[in-house]
Amino acid sequence: MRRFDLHILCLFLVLVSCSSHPEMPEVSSSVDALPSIFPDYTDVTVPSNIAPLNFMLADSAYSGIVAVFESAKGTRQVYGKEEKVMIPQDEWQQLRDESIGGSIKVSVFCQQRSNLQWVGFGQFAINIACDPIDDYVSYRLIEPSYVIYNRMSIAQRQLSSFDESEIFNNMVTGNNRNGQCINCHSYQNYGTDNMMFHVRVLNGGTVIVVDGKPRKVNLKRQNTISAGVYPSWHPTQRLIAFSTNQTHQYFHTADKNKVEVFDTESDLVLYDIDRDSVLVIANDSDRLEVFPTWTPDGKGLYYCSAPAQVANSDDYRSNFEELRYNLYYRPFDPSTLSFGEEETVYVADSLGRSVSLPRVSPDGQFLAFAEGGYGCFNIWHHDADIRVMRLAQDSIVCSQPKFVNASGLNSQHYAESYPSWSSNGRWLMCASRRDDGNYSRIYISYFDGEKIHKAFELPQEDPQQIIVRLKSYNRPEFMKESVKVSLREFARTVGER
Amino acid sequence: MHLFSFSCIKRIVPALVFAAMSGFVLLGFYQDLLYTIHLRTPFIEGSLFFYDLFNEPFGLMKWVGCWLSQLCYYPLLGAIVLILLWTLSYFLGLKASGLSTRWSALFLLPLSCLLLGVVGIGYWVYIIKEYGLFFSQSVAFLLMLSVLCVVKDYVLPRNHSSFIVLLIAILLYPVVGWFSFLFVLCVLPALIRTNGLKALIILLAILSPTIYKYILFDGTSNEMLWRAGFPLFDDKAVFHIRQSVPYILLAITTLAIFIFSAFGEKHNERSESTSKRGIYVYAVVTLLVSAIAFLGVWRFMFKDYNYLAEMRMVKYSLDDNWQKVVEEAQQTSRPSRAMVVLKNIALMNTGELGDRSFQLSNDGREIKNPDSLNVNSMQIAAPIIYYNYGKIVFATRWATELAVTYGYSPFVLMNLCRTALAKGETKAAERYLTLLHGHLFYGDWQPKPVSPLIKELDSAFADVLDSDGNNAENYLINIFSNSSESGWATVREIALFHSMLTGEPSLFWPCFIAFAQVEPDQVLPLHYQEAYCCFMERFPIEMPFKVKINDSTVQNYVSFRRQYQVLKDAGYDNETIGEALRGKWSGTYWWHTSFGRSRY
Repeated sequence: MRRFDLHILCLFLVLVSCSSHPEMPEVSSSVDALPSIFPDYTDVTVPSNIAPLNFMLADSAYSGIVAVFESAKGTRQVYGKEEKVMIPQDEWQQLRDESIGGSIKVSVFCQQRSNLQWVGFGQFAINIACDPIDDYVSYRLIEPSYVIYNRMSIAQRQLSSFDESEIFNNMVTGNNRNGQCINCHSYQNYGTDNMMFHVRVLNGGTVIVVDGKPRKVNLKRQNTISAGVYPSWHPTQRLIAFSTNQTHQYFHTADKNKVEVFDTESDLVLYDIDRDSVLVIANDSDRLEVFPTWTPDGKGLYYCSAPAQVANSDDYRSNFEELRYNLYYRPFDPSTLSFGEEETVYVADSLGRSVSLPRVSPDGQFLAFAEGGYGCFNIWHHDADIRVMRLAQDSIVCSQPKFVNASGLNSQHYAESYPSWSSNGRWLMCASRRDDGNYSRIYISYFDGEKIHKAFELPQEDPQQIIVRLKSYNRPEFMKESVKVSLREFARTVGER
Repeated sequence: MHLFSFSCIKRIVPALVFAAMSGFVLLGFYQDLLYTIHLRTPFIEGSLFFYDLFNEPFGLMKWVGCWLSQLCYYPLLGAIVLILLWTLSYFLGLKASGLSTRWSALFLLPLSCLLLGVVGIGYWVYIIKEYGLFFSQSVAFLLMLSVLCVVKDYVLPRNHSSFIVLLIAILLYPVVGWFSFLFVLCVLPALIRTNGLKALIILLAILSPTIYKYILFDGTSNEMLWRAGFPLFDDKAVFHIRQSVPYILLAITTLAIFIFSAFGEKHNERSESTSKRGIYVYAVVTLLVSAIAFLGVWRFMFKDYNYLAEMRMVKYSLDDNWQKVVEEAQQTSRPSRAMVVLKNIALMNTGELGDRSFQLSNDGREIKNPDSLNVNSMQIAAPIIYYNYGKIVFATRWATELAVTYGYSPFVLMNLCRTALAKGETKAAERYLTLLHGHLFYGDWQPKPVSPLIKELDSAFADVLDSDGNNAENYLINIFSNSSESGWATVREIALFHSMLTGEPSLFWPCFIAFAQVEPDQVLPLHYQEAYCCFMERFPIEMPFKVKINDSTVQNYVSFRRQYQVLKDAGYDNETIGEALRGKWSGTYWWHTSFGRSRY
């Protein structure tokens, strides 16, 4: 079903039901504290083109909410119905546009469930940055499952509205019996004319779109341990760096981290799209090389690597916390497709930490990555956070790496992983499990070059949907434009039956 | 026709007969099944769940089916709704088909298929992926018949009726799926009578999947577009046609009725109601069809005591009502594996594990299922089992696996809520609770507090990376029987019990000593005494302290061994000896380890 059509209908119904502006309540008392709302949009900084920040009560002691929004130019609107504040798109746009470079002041009033009295809370700001954000974000929707998977999809969402549509799903050419996994959607330089995703098991292969034309390829070669796994598009050339992996998992019997995913082998390869050839970048059998990512100029490749001994030892299950990845770099010559010698960038191991999923900012000055206590699959590790390292301009190796304070993006007790930069380098996105420890949600922070501001959760038309949606947002990626290949065309490429 | 005219009464009688029959079957035998249907049917309040189902034809019916399944929280209510749906279908079916009164009982045949679809489901109820099946097919059938009534009265008499019917069929397809094809076939006979062969144009409705593939269901596979909600049952990539037979017969009998009505003999209603022959034919047809319907349902409905007993045990276990679980276990001497495990959990909680476990039988039977399904205690109760053994993370895992495969049902949500709470994941628990509160009858549900036993078991084991091989029972036996050195009293007893299940002396003796030495002057629970006698005879060791065993236990053991030897010397095989000794000894550890332990 086209979600867009249903969304139009739903939006109409929502607008009809919620576009009425409630009266200002008679406030019986005030509290000098910020209101408890979900998502927490208090004092966040958002892009100048973001969809309405609808929110709802997060404290069961209250049964009703009214919020007063005042733009920087003085436009005032009141919203609230029962437990939710849902703002019509056009009115939000006005408030937002009038506050670019400044902030929208929000005053919240909550009705107590016990005595129906209204309580006023401390005012907070929604800061509207001058910098816009990319138009789209895409992600895989999948349960935070263990072994079994069922229906999953790769979806795209327009950030200035609530429109979400499927790019592809695993049921259109798969079925419950044979199973099909789709993953690792990836785009060249935030565009969608060149993009890819993997299809596993039934009709397996890698779907690569080149100049808007999709085709399916098999990346497994005789000299590789698997087909390509984690991808990274070269920013300018028709090249994709992949890791190849042999991945396994175990389950904790008591630890809240629940699942351990690890590789016993991993290498790096370079796929030349035009020649359909796979070149080996790194395949040291004593090392686990993974998570390649290009520099913005395409002249270098960062990646993570760890000694393979721990993963391959018989007592891995006892020593799994000793498996730690460091950050490395290899220069690349695009004209000869050759790589230089490996250089060590960051020895996380020396600090008892482990690096995964590095991403260089578009201006080449910063490197974001997920860091946890061990291992490479940090979304399952409660201690995992996003770190942003300043890249030294004169040298790759950072003897004393400097980090930007990323506390605005990270939560205190839950995992953050998979950092992604917007195309203008001003917005940093991650997958976070801070809502409940289990389901990954998208959080975005403004980065002004010096400071990472408080993150805001991807807004939803009905904030209740954040709770109701029982799938994780996996691998969030920014795009400047929507995917132009239709789902049906992808289905034919994958092998529709 | 007056409401109380003889003809009208004759038309009502079959409906009453069927309603009575359905009520007798559903409420007399399958209340637990109805409750389990609600427990295992996913439903999430809000638009997302609706959208997810509406991405393929018949999706709306699935949503309606899931919503109505909630009513089976009260089995009586669920049964009433089903019977109402079927009764309405009967009257609408009569009207739509134009079936004369004397043949009206024929419409009980398709309705019996719907009833059989419920009561013949067997163990598929745990692994079904057809959301809302137990109501969706009936609702869709009713809707189809309603449209047929409208078509009959308002469309057939018109010009260009074939084109109108074709359009209706195409519009029906996204809503009722495969019933739109049945609709076309049912209306075709009457349309041929009025329009001749021109009516065949309505067969173009077969193009509906192709049309909707591009305009509404672009993300749906060809298979689902063509299947369009027709129930197919597959387990590990193998189709089991048996379960689809009721729906195939539903289609065949419905179509046969419409064909018969269009081209079969027509009788004057007046003469029917008054002539003796008419009444005679009516009576014979009604009796015969009612008998066929009842016998057909009776023959093929799934009958197995353990099947329903398991459902009751699961229900009581979810409520921590251990006394009821034990009472249920007392009703049978041949429990299933799931029943054995739940019974032992109950006895752990009532403190009677060592005294009563084998008296209530640990000799579990294989699941009886004609389809040889891969259903075992994992699908039935894995989250409950692991939760109550303090393996909270594994409980979460299995609840999640069940959720991913079969949807977020109340069963799954309750287990996820409890396990999240047990691990201190309050935000996650709140999420699941919020979702559960969206159910019709779970608005006030709150998870039971985590018991001290579970907390103790959760704390007793250090975290390790492990895998259970998809078999909770074997995993727990292995883990606990190797835990003789635990410093936790509860674990020591459970370790001893599980070591007894293995029958391995290398596991039993350390566990026994660890348990018994704490209070060596106390008389041990009965089964531990029995095990001591058994192992001391077969695998004697030097005990570091004197063990208090009742003389009666020793004498009983001697008697058992003597009788066993007599039968063995007489040349009987082990199985025959076991059955011969079952009556007197099946409640002892000795009988279990001699004849029942081969299950492990």
